[in-house]
Amino acid sequence: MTESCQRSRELASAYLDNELSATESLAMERHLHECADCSREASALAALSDKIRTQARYHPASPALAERVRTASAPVTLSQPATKLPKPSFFSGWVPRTGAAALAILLAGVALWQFAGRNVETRLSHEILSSHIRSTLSQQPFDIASADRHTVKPWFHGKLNFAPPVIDLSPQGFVLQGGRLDFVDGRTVPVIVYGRRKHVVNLYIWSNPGQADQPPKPSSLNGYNLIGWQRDGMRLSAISDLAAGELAEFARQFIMKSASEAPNS
Amino acid sequence: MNQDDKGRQFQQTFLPHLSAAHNLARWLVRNDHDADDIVQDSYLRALRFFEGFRGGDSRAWLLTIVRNRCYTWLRNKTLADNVDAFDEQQHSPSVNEATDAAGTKSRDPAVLLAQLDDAAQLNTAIAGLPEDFREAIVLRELEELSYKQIATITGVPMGTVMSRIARGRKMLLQRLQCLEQKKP
Repeated sequence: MTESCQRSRELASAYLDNELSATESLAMERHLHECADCSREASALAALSDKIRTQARYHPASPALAERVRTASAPVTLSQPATKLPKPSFFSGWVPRTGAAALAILLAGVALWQFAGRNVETRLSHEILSSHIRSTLSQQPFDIASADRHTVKPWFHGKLNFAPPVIDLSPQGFVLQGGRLDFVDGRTVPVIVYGRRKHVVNLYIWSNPGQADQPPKPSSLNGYNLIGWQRDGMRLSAISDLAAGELAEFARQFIMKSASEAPNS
Repeated sequence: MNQDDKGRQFQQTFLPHLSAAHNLARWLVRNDHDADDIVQDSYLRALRFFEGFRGGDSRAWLLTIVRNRCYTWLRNKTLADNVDAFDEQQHSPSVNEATDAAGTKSRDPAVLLAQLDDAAQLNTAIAGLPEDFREAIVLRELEELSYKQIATITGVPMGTVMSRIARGRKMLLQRLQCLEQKKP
């Protein structure tokens, strides 16, 4: 085994996970191209990874657990105002009031942290994030469920003053699941919902005429990845808990496919 | 902002990660009942320390708590009954030892596994990984987290995450190959 083979065996796993630097990654690619043994080993790792993702058991939370956690973390007791009691005795009023005062101070802190220094773009990101989370919490994250873009696209007709591009990306591994209308940043927004493995990608589209095209710009918020771009008089923003690289791939594929379909839309 | 808003904000931030929390706990403690309790307990802790959460990666933040609760549970469990059936599983030869022996040991659990179907074999192989490797594989493959996020959750350097994932995969490959050969 040559030295570069040894190096390749050490790094094959990280290479597969896209966790190598650009230089290492390139060197790896070159080596795999030349060395059949290492290439076979790398494919075995990739096949294993694929097998785990598709066949290993995922243990989602049961509805009962969701209910338990929801109830346990729901704020009910402290939020009942003490004034409901007609004439509270010293102790019955004192304890909740001190608690409430402490809480007020605490929450003021949280509020400050929440709203300080937020510019328009981050506010929009936060609104998209809230909308995305709402959709993942709801049973049905779309108003129209269909993997057929010829069903999803007409559903938006008459509901908007522009026709959002609905593009089938299932050959690229992003399966169209449906669409819905949401209310973000004071406007009604069409949302196209895609699935990749067990992850959801929500794509928000605003009509934004007269703006120059802008390439995709990735960002992240609270552990979610976002990517936004401007094209053909529209502002598009995708959000998901997919890895940043995969979401960038989504944007790339979406743009490529929409460019090739442009004439009819 | 009042208490209701705080609760709503907490739930909005952390409820979407409920399945991730349960999946990690279930793979670490290997039974549903205790995984449920650990997840509920973790959420209560997260709620208590919510003020200390300064935004950022809420999933990694929550999973760090879940993981720590799991390890506390595993430690207590081992102390409480370190001779019972559960620990036989825990102290059975690691995948490494089992495959090094390449099936020459008669009590090799691989013999039994060979009769299971592919997915079941895979699940058993993952469950048989030592905890450090199992959590790294579960976080990487099933939660699709980055090495950096996994490093944060497990409290080890990125280099360690990298080698745990690499070794974990090698152990799984060896184990699965070994089972494949035993098939009639």
